[in-house]
Amino acid sequence: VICEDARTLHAYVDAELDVVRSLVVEAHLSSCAACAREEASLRALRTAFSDGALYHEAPAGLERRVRAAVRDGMESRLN
Amino acid sequence: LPGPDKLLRFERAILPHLDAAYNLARWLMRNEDEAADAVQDACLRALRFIGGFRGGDGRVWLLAIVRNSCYSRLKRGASRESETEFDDEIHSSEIETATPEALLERSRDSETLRHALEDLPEEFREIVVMRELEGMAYKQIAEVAGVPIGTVMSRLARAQAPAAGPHSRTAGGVQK
Repeated sequence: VICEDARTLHAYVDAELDVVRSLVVEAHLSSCAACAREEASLRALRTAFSDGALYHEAPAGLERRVRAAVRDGMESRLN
Repeated sequence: LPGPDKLLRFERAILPHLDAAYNLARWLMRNEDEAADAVQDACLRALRFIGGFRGGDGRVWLLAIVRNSCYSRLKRGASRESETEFDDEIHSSEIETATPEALLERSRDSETLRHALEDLPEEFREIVVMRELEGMAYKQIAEVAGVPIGTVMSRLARAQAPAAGPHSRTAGGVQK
């Protein structure tokens, strides 16, 4: 089942499985080389994503701009 | 809710998630100015509806609104675009890359990975962004995207599947 359904391995790597199902996947990985390779690739991909290079932080002026817009919005409603 | 209370709740629950809001908007709009406009738009709507925010996860709540603002803008942009003549030369390359192509095969460096993520269709891209860049749980992602958790799982698996499917990868790696 684990070999056929990629979602289970993804959920395992994402720590989204309950402990019983995690143990089942863990046991499977120790005996299935193909799934073990897949797991290694998925973890490598997650590491690549997590270095922050792809995260777009809000530009410097955005909070000020939002606060000003919110203030204007509230004032126009009161008037 | 009186004005000052609304503002206070907005500042406490919503403003701390501006980075998350911008990151999702930037990945969906693929443009800095459009992303900033969508976030501002979403924040104004968030303020309007803040009375209905019951103190849950402010990030999930804001991202759901941001996502909605982005899709409205994308839809408006698409209807404008369809009025101009369709150019085969420009669009043919987009069609080729518009399938959820293996992120795995393109994860060698962050530039390649960036392009791979940009190439994903929006419904896959937003879910990968929330999972991998925002570190959100499947349940939170499902709430923002308004889909069942099973759909989140399928899209993640499809977006990150090896090109040829599990266990049938060739030694050469990328398959065309």
